[in-house]
Amino acid sequence: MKALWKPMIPLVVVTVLAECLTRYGVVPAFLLPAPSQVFKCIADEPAVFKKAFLETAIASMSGLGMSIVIGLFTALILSYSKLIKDMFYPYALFFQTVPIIAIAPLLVIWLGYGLPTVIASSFIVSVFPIIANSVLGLLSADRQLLALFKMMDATQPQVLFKLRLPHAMPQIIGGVQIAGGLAVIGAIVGEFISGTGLGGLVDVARNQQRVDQVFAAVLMASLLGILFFSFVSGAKKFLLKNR
Amino acid sequence: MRIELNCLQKIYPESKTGLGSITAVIPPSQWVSVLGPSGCGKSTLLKLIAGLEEKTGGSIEQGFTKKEISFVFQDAALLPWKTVIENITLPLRLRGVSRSEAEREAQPWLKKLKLEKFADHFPSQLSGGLKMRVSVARALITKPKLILMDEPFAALDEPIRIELGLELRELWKALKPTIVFVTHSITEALWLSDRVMVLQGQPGQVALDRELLFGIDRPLSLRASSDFQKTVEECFQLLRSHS
Repeated sequence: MKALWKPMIPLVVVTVLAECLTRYGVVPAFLLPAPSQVFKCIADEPAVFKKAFLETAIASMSGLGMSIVIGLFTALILSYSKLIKDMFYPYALFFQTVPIIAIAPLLVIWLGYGLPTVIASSFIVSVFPIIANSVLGLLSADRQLLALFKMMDATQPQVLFKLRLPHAMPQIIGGVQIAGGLAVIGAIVGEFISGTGLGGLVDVARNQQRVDQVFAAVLMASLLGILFFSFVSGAKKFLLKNR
Repeated sequence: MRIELNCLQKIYPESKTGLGSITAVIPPSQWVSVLGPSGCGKSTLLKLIAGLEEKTGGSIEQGFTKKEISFVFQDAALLPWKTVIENITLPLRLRGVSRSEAEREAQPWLKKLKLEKFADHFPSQLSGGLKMRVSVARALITKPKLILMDEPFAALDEPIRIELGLELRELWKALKPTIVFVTHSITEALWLSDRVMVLQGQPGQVALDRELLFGIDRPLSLRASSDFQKTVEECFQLLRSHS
């Protein structure tokens, strides 16, 4: 909690500044709503925001979960041999470069309007950092330690679970931290198309020129991203301590 | 069990360096020090004996199994996420020995190498000398018949080098493993070992192979004796003439 007060200072300053600018008419409310108006918007319709928040949270958690499982499994395969890595790593890059907003309509055609599309969108956007960081970590184990394990007649699973994976843990967790934020972004993009969750709420509010509602939804999406990041940071301490 | 090197050769094709044709017989329980300038193939010789490198010519015969060989690296090569006791017991744990049994086995080594107070410390909390003690304890816990040491004291200051050298000599007298000890220090090589091999050139060749008849006990005062100094001078001149 001690570390929280420092980032709170700019937040409070910006919030007060935005409140003053809009309240005194320096910036028109249709461009930038007063922070108090944004909070009021949430307070007026708590059920709507709660439902949208939970939908986005479930979709992005599912997308992130899939990314962790599939991303780690892919990284293990890619790091197993140089030949496999050279053959398939460029295809993993596809997930990094794919313009998710362009293929989201395709996902709707394949998976329909609903949760599967949102999860797929979240997964596509968030899987690459996990693959890239995990491959990097798994392949960067100290050469002397690898020689030592060879000298100690360690089996391949022992090298993987006692050396490569623990060594790669900081990079893997770093990848998951990045993926956490991206999973929310991917889910929101998917929801723009499928019309559910916070993304759907933003889309509807945009059409109705409800800038306060857009800001409220964006605020909740950011909160979700921060929650993911904080959870992974907490897990990081535990995992690094228990390698 | 003895080690027989017959015209043993390892040439790295890119640099044309490595080990030239080496022929030598190392009898059981002998402590052989290998001296020579950087790039003459000292470490390569150790790796060839350990089976970590493939030879490009000649033959090597040694009856040690992998379980009977220990390797001590220059920079201790400890797992940073494991405590001292976990690092020391690693070779036993990889062989399937239970944690409690392995820790029981480690106790005498913790005592002999003055590590009792540091059993639960992580490598990042240790000095260079302590890290090297851990590395030596890890090498000895399996009661190896052959110990290969690649400049184990290179990163340590002189008083700690001497202290560790004395301790290692005592342990060798008690256990009598075969030791192949690579070092840059002429004094250390002559003081600790029964035989010295000086390698020269790129790829390295044996320029001097001599038994050292300084007796089983090697007090520090031996280093000041005229016989010892004469041999130091001879090695020094040999190394200088080829540098």
